[in-house]
Order: sequence, then structure tokens, then C-alpha cells
Amino acid sequence: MSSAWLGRRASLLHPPRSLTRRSMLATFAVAPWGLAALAPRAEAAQLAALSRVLIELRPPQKPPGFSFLSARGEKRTLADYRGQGVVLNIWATWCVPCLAEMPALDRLSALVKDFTISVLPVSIDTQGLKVVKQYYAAHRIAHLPILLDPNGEIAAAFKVPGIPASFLFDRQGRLVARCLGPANWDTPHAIATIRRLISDGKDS
Amino acid sequence: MMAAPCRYKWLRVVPAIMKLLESRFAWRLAGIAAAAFAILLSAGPARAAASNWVGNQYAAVRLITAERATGSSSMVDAGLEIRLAPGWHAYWRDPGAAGIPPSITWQGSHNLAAAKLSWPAPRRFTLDGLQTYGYAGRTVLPIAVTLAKPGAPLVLHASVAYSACRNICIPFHAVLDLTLPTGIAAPGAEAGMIAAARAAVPGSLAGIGLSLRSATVSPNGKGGSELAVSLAGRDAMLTRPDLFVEGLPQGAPGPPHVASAGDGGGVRLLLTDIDVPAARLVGRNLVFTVTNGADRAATFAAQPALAAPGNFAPASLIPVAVIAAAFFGGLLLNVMPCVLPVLSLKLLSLARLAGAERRTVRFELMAMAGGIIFGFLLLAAGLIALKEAGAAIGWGIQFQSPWFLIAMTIVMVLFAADLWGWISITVPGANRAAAIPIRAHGRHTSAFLVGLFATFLSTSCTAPFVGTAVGFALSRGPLEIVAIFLAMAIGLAAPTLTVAAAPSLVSLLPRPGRWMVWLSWIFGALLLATAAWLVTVLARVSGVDAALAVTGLAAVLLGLLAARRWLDARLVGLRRAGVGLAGAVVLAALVVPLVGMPAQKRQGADQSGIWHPFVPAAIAANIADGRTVLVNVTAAWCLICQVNEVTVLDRNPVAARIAGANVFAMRADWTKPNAGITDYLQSFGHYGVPLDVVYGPGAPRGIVLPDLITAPEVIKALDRAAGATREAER
Repeated sequence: MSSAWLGRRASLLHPPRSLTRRSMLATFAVAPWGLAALAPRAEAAQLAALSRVLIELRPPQKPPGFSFLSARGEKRTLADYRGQGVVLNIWATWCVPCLAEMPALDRLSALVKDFTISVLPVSIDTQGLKVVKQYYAAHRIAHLPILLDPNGEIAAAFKVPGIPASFLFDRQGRLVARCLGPANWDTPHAIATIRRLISDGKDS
Repeated sequence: MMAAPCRYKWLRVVPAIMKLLESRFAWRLAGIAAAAFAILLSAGPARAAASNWVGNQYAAVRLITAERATGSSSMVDAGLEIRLAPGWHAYWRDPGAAGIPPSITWQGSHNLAAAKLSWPAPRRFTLDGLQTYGYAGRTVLPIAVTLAKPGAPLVLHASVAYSACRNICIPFHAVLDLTLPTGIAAPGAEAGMIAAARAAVPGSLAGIGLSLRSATVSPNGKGGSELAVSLAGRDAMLTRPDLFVEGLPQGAPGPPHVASAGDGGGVRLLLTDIDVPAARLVGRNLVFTVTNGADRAATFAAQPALAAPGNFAPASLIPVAVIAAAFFGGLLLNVMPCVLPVLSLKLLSLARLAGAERRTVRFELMAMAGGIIFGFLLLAAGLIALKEAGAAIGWGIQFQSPWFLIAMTIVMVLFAADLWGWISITVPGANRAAAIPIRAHGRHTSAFLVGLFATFLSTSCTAPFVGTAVGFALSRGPLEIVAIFLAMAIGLAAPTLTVAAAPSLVSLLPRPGRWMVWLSWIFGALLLATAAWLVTVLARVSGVDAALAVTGLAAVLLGLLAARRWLDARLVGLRRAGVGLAGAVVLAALVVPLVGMPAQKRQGADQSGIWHPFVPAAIAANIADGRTVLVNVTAAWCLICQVNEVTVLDRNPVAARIAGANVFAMRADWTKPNAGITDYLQSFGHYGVPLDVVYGPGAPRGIVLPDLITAPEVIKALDRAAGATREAER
């Protein structure tokens, strides 16, 4: 009766191999991993440690002149942040490596605020405010200002080969380090490096 | 030896090139830079079938054509070739998390009527969990160019915008020029590349030996949803399947979890990390592209249906409601005609036992409850094993097996005969559930077997709630199956256990007497009715001939037993068993070939013309035409389905409504195994029938009606589904 209940010619009666209970359990436990191994292997990459991508500039350099826009369309220059350390990041919403480091930059911003260090991500999206706002909302970016450079003037001024590109300025507005490609910005080591470069050990 | 100096020489050039390139990266002037590049490189011999490369050492593009001249055709096979340095990639039409797919504007071209870009199957790239889809190395995007004036020269002037990324991204803007003169359209050097690229453009599922079984969506417990795509195909082994989805409101899902799709071959792909609530995806037009490494790819559209586990909100826990449904389902099984006679008579028989034998009564009842619970655990184990083996399972599938139907019919008849007292010899204990108390030894065994027997009998009935609970259980893991079957077992055993807990309740039962004999007759008749119903199901599964043969067998069996009883009164010691057995064997020999005969066809469409055969694709098509669609999944052996049909669907006002031009009614008959219908059921998390779903412009994702429907509910659902059109008309 029970075999009739099992409906379709019960494969229980003809198991593929002689399955002992234990081996059945083992198969069951292992199966998901075996299937996971079947999944396509994507070309994966992780965020690099900041120390691996950051290039310190000694002595500090005079940066090229540049400006960008606030979310309200007000023109901003480095002079507006005089007395503060600045982490300037050039990014765009269409740039996956940029997006990869945005959450880390967001956390960095919260962590270094008390040291009067501003993290300034400037988007070079040609669509400007709209797409950046969308991205901030969708990814809960809470500690970063919206800054725009729809004409790509900063990228041109710094002659960056691609984005993301980041630049560190000390409290005197001098360029102390640059970095190309995404980095893990909010590790204790990275924060210590940023603070050292910006303050050069003098104040904090 | 030779390589070393060469390498050094090359290295010395690199900084110079880099400097040159970087100085050109004033992106606003990218167009000018590209033009400069074009001039720089155009020194080489001009090739009619390809433009110059425009880009840098990381990424560059050029236009190519299959022919060297326009010939006389109105079409030219062209392509955008993308060259990427190792580690760099460009994007597919859907870039995933972010990216700029190549886009081409053709202003400034001459003799160009249209240019259609095609997209070869993409690859997946992951950066820190962000998924992007695109191409690496060398890729050609085929372009079908239509000429305004066939035979005239073609001047292509393409402005190409795209981004390429490695650990950094670069936006590119390239201006490409290619002129095809008039002349014989002899294939150029690039013809093979374009043909290969065309072959890499995903085609239809049928083209790679697959078909879409189902696409379902359910909550993933993290605020997002899971999308399951089930593809059927016996011959198409996908060794490294990947699945890309276009049309999601946001997010780019990671690679799919891959599982075998069960009996029919094929594959089930599960995307677990979609950042959109399931409700927003139900009925949404999504475009899927399935790939298998680089060798096969297909694109298809689907509107996911809601998988029913989503109806029970919390993901991993078994909702109390389902446990309650299982319990009440089990409890109700007690009064179903196939179970009632067994357990109730056993209970009543205990009324004969006086208070002095309380302990015995209690033990006997416990043994019976044990039999019930053991029986359900056996069923659960069987189902788990079948599920693990990948078989399509469902509540009621046993009715799709003619052998089950025949066996149960005979068992029912024998048992009815037993109740009527026509069997007085000792048949296996299980059948001795009748009113006569059995001797004390083996009494517990007998009670246990009665419980077990009742459980298996119960599978030939189904009670309200049972389908819901079992459906839920089967959609989950082994633990849930066991838990829900246990709840059902306790429900079925509840009356027994209650009496066991308080044997004094027995004294509340009516005193045994003549009425019990009458009750035995009534119960026997109930079993015979069940047997008759099983025969009608058999008629649908294996044809009328088989059903008639089984009816004959049953009648002869019953006749023999009756005759034997009559003879018994006179001739003691007749070889009665021998006679019965011989008759049974002869009839069985007749039945076996009949069962094997092809079943009589009974398609979903019936004589009235109201009901159309079930075709899943017709759902979307009819909704698109503004019609309301009613899908009725039924089976001959499903009592509730019959009740629904007789009392609601085939009766006014529902019958009149669904006969109307604005309603398209489809009936899916699950009496016999049907993988398509099983998949449809499972797309709603149902593992049994009935299932009634109403679709319409106002409810493209479908409204699932309750198991037991009422006319007002159906009308209301039809109104709601038609909602959008009605509002538009106002």
C-alpha cells in the first residue's frame, strides 16, 4: 500500500546506489555545497588596503586650482575648507569600483569628523544631483555631502586616468597624498594613516 | 635570450606612452583626443572592412563589416569590436550594479536607414560583492545595418560612448568612420568574427533545448525576494549555468544557486538576493538571460508568479496556523468516509469493556494512537525520500496511480464485507477492526495495526485543511514535513487519545446493542461508496474498461463472500478460501492488461465549451487583451474539487459569468500526472488540488481563491481582477 501511495514508480525501491542511512544523510548535508560549486565562478575582487594604493607626496604639493558644486549649486573651492583636513574623492554612479568604496568613505566621514577632517566625494555624473541623490538614498549614505562636478573639471585638473581617484589635503590646503582605485577607507590603520598625513603628527 | 632585451626596450617606451595618454585625458576633450588617435593610427593601410581602433591601451573600439562593399543587398552585417586589456571589462546592455553600456549614435552617416545593435551573452564580474555584467578581452557587438539605398556606398560615422573598468573606470567616447564602396559584397577578413558574434547572441530557449517551466518569486526573509526559474530540458545539460535578469526596479543579483529540476531533467536557478520586495516583482515583465559558460545562451521573458511560501510570512518558522491546519485536518479525517468506520468502530467496541478493564482499554487505545502516529511518520519518511530523490510529489498523487486505486478499491470492499460480518475467518489483524473483541493476546498489536491501517486508508480521502498543511510541508524541508505530519497524526489520533486519557468517557458512549450492528452496516455501505468513487477515479485514470473490470472483480468478490457466508450456515468446511482466491486471481488476470491500456482521453475542454485546456501562456495573453482569466486546477479524485464544480463553478451565477466573452476559463486536469500542472501548482506553493486562480488587468499576478470556494467569493475575485478595465471604462 505504501509503495502505491508513493505514486510514481518509487525510486526508493531502486536507489541509485546502495544508500545506507548515514551516506544518505551525508549526501544530503553535502549536496548544497556541491551545488554551490556548480555556480559560475565570477571574477571577484575585494577592496584593497589603503596603504597598498595610497601614494604619499613628499614634500606636499600645491594642488591645481579646482572647484565643484554643492547640492544647491553653490560653487565650492578648497579654500572653503581651510583649516580642515580634506579627503577628496572623485567618483560617479556608473563606476562600480567607486560604488564599492562609497560605504567605507561614508563610515570614514563619521569616524574622522571629530578630527576636523572632511570627506568630500565629488560626483562627475553628467546627470548630476538626481542620480547621486538616488544612489545616496538607495544605499543609505548618511555622513557624506552631495558634491557635483558634472563637467569633469576636477578630473581634468588632476589629470586622473580614471576613477575613483582620491586626494588628501592637509590643514594648509597642500596635497599630501593621492590614490587611484578603491580602498578600504575605514580600517583603524587607514584612519591612522589619514590622520598622520593630514596632521603630520603636529596636531590632532 | 632574445626576449629579455626586447622586453626592456618595450618597458622604456611605456612611460612615454603613459604620459602621452594621461595628457590626453582631459575628458571634455575626449572626442578631440579620439580624433587625434584616429589620425595617428590612420597611417596604416586602409581596410575597407574595418575602421581604425580608437581608444587607449586599456580599451579601444572599432567598426567592422562582414563585406568589403555594399553589393546589392539592403542589409550590411556590421559590428562594434571592443578590445580590452587583461583585467578590463566593458558592459552588457544591462551593466548590473553600475556601468555605461556601449551606445552608438549615427549622426553624420550616409545611406543608413537603421542600425540594430545585438548583444552577445554577457559574463559576470564581481567587485566587493557588487555584480556587473559585461565582456572581457575581445568582443564584437553585431550591428544589422539597413541601407536607405541598396547598391549605393555606405558611410558610417559612429559616436560610441561606453565605460570600461578594472579597479578604475574610464568613460570613453570614440568617433569611428568606415566607408563601404559600391561593388561586389565579397566577405572581408572580419566576416568570421561577426558571424561568431551573431552566434553568441542569446536566442530562444527552444534553441538550446530548454523550456520555461516556471518563474516564481517569494520573500527572502531579509526584506528582499528570491526569484526561482525552473527550466525543463532532458538533453540540455547546463554545467555552469548563470542567470541574468533585466527589468528589476533596482539591484543586480549575484550568481544563481543551481539545483536539478527534478524528474523531467533541466535545471532550477534560484536568485536569493534581490533587493526588491516580492510583491513588486509579481507579474512584472522580466527578461531573463541564461548562459552556460560561453557555449550556449538564451533570452526569454517571464512574469514571475508568487510562490506560496510567501503567503505564510515568517520564513524559517512553521506558522502556528499551519500546525493548527494540520491538526484540524487530521481531526476531520476521523469523520471522512474512508476512516470513520475503522476508528469509530474500534472506539465503540471498547465500550463493551467494563470499567474493570480500564487499564486494558487505555493500553489498547495508546497502541492504536501509536499505530496512527507511526503510520504518518512512515508517510512523512516516504515523502522526504521521494522529495530528496527529486520526484514530483504532491498530496493526492497516489490517486494518479491505477494500482493504488485498484488496491484501495479491493481493500475497501473487503473491509465493507468484514463490517457486514461476511468474513469470519481470521484475516490479517488489521482487518479485524470490527465489533467483535479479539482475545487479549495480540490485542495491542491488533490495535496498533488498526491505527496504521486507518492512516493508510486516510490517504484515499482528503479533508479540508489537509491539502493546505501538506502543501506547506512539502514546500519545506524534512523537519517541517515531519512536524506537520505529526500534527496531522495527533489530530487523527485525538479522539483515541482523549478516551485513553479519560477511559471513563467510554461510559458516556451509548451502551452496546443492536444499533451497533446497524452502524456496522451503514459504515460498510460508506466504505463501499468510497470504493465506488475510487472506481470512477480509475475510469478517468486508466479508462472505463479497467474501471468496469475492477467493478466486476469487486462485485464477484463481494458475491463470493456473501455466498460463502450463506453456505457457511450449512456446509462447514467448504474450501471457501480456495474459491475466493481462485476467483480473485482470474479477475486480476483480466484487470492487469486493461490497466495498461491507454487511458481514454479527457482533455480539459469539455462539451459546454466554457472551459479551455490549460495553457500557461494563455494567461498573460488574455490579460493583455483585457480579459479576466480563471484557472481551475482539479482532479477526478479530489472531493473538494468536485464539490467546488458542482456547487459553484458549474452553477449560476458563476457559470454564466465565466461563459461571458470577457472571461477566459481554463481547466487543468491533474487526475493523471502532468508535470506542467504540477509546476503551476508549485508556483503557488500548492502541492495538491484544488487550486483556483483569477487573473485580470486588475490582478495580473493572480488572486488565489480558497480551497473551498463560494459563488460570492468567485464573483468578487472576478470583479477585482477585471478592476483596471472597469475603471478605465468609467
